[in-house]
Amino acid sequence: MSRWAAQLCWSILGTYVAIAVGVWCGLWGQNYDLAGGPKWGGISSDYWLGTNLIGQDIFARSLTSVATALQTGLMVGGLATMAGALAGACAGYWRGRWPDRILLWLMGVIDAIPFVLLAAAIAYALGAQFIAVALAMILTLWVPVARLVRAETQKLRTMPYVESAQIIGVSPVLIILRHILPNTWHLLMAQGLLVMVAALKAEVVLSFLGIGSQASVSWGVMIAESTQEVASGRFNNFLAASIPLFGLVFVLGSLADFFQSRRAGDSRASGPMQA
Amino acid sequence: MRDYLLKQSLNAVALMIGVTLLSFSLLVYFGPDQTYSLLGKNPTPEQIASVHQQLGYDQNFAERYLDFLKRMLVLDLGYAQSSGEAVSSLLARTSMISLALLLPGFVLGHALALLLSMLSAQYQGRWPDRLISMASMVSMSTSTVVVIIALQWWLSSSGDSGWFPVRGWSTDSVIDYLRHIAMPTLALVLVSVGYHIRIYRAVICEEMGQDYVRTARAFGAGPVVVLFRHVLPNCLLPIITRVVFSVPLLLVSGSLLLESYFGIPGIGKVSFDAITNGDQPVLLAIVTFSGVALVLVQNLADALYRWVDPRLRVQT
Amino acid sequence: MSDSILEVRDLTVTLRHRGASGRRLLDAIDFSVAAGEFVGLSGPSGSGKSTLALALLGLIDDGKQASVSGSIELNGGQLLGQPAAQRDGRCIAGIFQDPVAALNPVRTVGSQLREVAQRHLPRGSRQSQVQSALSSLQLPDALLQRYPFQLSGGQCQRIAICMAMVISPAVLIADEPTSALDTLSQQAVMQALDVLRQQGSAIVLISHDRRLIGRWCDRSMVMDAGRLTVNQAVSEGELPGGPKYRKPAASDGNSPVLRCHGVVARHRANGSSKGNRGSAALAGITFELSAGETLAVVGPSGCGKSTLARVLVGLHPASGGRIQWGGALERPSRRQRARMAQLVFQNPALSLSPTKTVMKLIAEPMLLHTTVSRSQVKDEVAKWLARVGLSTELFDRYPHQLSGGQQQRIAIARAICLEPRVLIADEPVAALDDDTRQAALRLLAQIQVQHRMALILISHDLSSVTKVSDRVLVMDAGRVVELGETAGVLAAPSHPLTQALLAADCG
Repeated sequence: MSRWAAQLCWSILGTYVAIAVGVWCGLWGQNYDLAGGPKWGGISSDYWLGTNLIGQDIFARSLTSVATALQTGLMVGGLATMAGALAGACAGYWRGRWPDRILLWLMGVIDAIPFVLLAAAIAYALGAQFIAVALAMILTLWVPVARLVRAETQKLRTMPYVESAQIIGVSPVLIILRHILPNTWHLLMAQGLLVMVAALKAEVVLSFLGIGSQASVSWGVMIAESTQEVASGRFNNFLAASIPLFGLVFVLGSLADFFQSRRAGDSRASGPMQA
Repeated sequence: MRDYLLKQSLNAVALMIGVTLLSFSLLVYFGPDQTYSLLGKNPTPEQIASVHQQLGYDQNFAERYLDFLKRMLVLDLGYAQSSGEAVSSLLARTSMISLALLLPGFVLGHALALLLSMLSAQYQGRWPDRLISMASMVSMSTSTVVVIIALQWWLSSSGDSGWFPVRGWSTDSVIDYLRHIAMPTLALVLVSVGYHIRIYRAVICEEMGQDYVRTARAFGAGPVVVLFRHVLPNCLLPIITRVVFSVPLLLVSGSLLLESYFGIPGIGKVSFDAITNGDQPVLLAIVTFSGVALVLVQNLADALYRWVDPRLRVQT
Repeated sequence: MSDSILEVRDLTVTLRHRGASGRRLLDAIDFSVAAGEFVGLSGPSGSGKSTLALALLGLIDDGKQASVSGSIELNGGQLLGQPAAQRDGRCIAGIFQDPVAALNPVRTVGSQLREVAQRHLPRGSRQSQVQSALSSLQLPDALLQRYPFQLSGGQCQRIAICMAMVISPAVLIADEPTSALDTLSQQAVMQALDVLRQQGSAIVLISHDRRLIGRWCDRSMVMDAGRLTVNQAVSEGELPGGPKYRKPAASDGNSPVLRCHGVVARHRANGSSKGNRGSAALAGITFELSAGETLAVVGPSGCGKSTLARVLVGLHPASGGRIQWGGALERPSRRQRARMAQLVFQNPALSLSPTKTVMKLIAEPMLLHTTVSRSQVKDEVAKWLARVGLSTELFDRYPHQLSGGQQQRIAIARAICLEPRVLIADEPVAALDDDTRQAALRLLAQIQVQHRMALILISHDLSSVTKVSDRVLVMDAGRVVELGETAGVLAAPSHPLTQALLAADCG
């Protein structure tokens, strides 16, 4: 990925963030809940993208969804990546001993349960709230992060600089925090972004299943609403949700690729000719 | 060998205990009280007490969990709350439908991805690679729900040829079967091929940078020999992992959206209905079922690893 | 030269990588190689030796990463512009540094040999050619059914040479074929190359080891910064003179700083996939080390010398025997052990955490062990930097911004700033260039004298450590086979292994 493409991605992401900040500050997208317009109204100066079945402003709803998406993504991405990094580093550092065994067993159990069913079960136990959805996502998405960090830690564990820290007398916890995790940061950035992607896509599926926050609006909720409308030729709701969703996911995925390729072609590696 | 089998079975038992413990606690122990949905309005205290006893609410967690495990062991999965059908027969019937629905798309998706990622790796950094990587990124970024809705709209609006039905299922004849799986298969390939390509391409590219590839080239091996005789045999391990481990998850999560949108009565549709209705016995059975599937798949993968990689097979 | 088969004229490789576009990796290289000639090519790392090898082999992707110009003529035919796969493989073949990784791990050695024969030989002669190549290198037929991971590095490298022998190329490029091997395997590989040469192939040996070239080659070429600077015949007189040995340090009659008695250690059970799990890596090692003494530990790879170092610093558990520090201490805590023994690793680039600055790297052990306050730490770091001959300008550099020699000095500073009683160096200079190597060894010797540390120098190569050592300990298969004062051992080696190591050394 070239430098300007990465910059383009960053600026698009910046636009999304700006929209979300506007929503959080109350500048726009506040009336997403207000059913003041006509049923399935067309595009007009009041309703830039028309209205939905019960007369809500689709444009306002899509703006608010940007904030919902970033909230979900940042929270799930941040927490799942942090948990995965810590768990993976511990499992990798103590490979074959009890912390590794317990963590591997836990990861196996979570992998064995399909995500939607786990989410449904958690929503079932906690009631359908935002926290249930976020918890379900974090509970499943830390696993792939942890597996990757575990493999990477196993590699780093035998690196002379980690052994050198051991010889100098640095405690295992400090070795993990100072010498192992900082050297996986490209991996963690890429994984964090991919977790956000997974969270955004999972949210659509969960909304379709009716598991999810009923209090707010999200692209998933809008797409679920639009399922019946599309067949009868009404695309406003569907497009107003799926296009910005695609854009955000695409940008996040591209940036994850960018971090991963930076890692492979590290400046530390030897010259380009020494393959 | 005996140690190996013992270790595998211990792992399997530990995994199944974890899966059942988690699903039991979430769905039964902390799940909503079933009493009122069974009794209807205004039950008498005696009725409530008898239902409580029947459901085991008067026992402690360990007793109830062990009781649940006992029933699972003898395949007594209970009855679906909505239809009253025995859950075991429900699962047996619907999983075959899901298999028939998903198998073609599954094979096609992996084959297509392998082909494209080989092409991509061969032309690393040039336009075929860029094109394929871009397409893969688009595929990964598109939500399955969006793809299905768009496909269904395209079906219903592009004339009434009726060739590819928007909903329904039939396996009366081969033609019928193919007509019904065409669109779901297309949707499955579209959304899965991107992820597969991303992984396969990375694996193949990494192998292409290894020392033994340089040796082969220094002794005059052409690109075809390098790819098929040197690189691919070394890629089999991660490819097998990817293929095999996507089976159990696909069976439930993958088919859920396809089957509920296309109205196909497979295991995904059953899961969808169970989730939306809160059908406890069915949910429990499906979770346990996918745990068993994962255990089987892990052992299958392990056997395959030994077969393809001499380092795991041959003693020094 | 009239009988030259390979003529390289004005060969230039220019980078097209962004950021470094236009940099010349090879700058107008001119040379020729005669049929059956053994040519050595040396030079500091980064001088373009390996790039030259790839260019000759046609493995540089012209146009994508770099552009290649000039001319490479073999027997009058132009090779430039023909990628490796379009050439007749019998013209130029190549073997490389890491021999185990250079063979396909999931295919047997035999299938890889047969593949090469299939591509380049007519059907009838394949089998016999493979057989005769194996027998002329004295490799048993049983190796054909083995996988590369079942063989030693030396065996793998000889299989690669065997592969070349099957097709008998006009020229074989050998890029550092022995630098990953111990002295004895090195000997076997060089002999194999010589057999290939006697069968008519010219050989271009690329090595950073000028002694190796002096011993085996007819002609020596030296590269620097992409240019060929020396191109001359090797004369007999050029061989390095006889080594001078150091007098043993005067014993001060102190009690030893380290006393090992029957130390036993096993291979890691969960370590490599090799079959030697649980077998003994050290089978009863006994020796003493007194303050200020330098002990050379020498032996072939796999003899347990690195395991010994790892056991001493606590990276590997000892399963038996006694290790006494400073006379009495037997079970040091993590912190106590750190002040007893420190280890300097072979590869300096990998022994420094890549995300830490020089300042943080050297401050870390001091902050952990001493009462130096954060405000004083900067002066302390400067002091230790000065002792290893570096300036404070490097404070905020990251390891990848330093040269190999600087990295090794930082690693040494990090190890000695705790003033350990024993400093262990595991092949400390094997990864460095000839010149940096001497400087690093001098530095270690100097520091040892200043701080009265005992020094253990570990190497597979007798000559590189005996110049500075007081005593030599020779190891084989986890045991001490010879231990004595350096001059005595070198003058009258008693064990066959020591004799073989000495013989390999003198050529």
